[in-house]
Amino acid sequence: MFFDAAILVADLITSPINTMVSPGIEVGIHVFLALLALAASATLFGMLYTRASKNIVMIFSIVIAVLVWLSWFSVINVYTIEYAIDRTVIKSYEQTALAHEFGMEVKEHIFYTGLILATLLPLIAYGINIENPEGRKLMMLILVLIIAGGILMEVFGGWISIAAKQAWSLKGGA
Amino acid sequence: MEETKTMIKKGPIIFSSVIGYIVAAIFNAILVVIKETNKSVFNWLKVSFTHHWIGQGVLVIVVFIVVLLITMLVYKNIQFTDKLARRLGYMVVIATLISIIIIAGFYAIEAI
Repeated sequence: MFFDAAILVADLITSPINTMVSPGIEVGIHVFLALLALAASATLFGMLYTRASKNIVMIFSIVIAVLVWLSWFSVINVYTIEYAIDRTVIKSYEQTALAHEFGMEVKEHIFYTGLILATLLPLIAYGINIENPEGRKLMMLILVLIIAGGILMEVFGGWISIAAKQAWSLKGGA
Repeated sequence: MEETKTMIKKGPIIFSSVIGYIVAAIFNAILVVIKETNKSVFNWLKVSFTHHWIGQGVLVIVVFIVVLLITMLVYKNIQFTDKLARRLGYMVVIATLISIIIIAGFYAIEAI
């Protein structure tokens, strides 16, 4: 009895699959930061349209860039360590495999294009003369790309979450 | 009608950052194809940066910064016009679309 319990504890400690933790509420931090960046981008778009002051545009541009960078930092541990256990389950069922093989792969790699795009905002806001329509249009164009890309990534994120739930249900025999 | 020659006060910064973005966006897409089709590149990223995805991000950021700095040095006296601003806008859109199409297209083909 004692040895059985000891073996069970040892197995829990040494087995990689057992020591892994499936993604939890911390995923929400990544999603929340990304949503804040989207909301701030939509707000800045409106501000540029209504010719807000350069200082406000500069502050919002920095806030958006920082939010996207924080969104990246907050998901590194989730994607590189915690998601591994979900990935294994999602990929093992035909019904859900595409969510990882296409959805997650595309999402996590186009994110870097969005990260640099968001980093552009404060640099351009610093450089442009806010009174000039062409300068404002350039910023608005970048914001449209950030918003569209952000929505696309949110859709992929939703798909992956549902796929994980479905895959675990299938594994549980549902 | 003559276009505004000094519409952007700090022309080289904005020009260089856009060029840096265009190169980094395309590099990001190409690196996806290279690392997924070449095991040695994939493993190098994994060993050097603990995870291939982190390595990809670090390299994309480095490319952006390096291209931005080089372009700033080369085009330090560039003068912006409305026409150039419009062209940069088109280039940002095209580079973004190319980057997304290459990444999504590659994984779509791989997934089929």
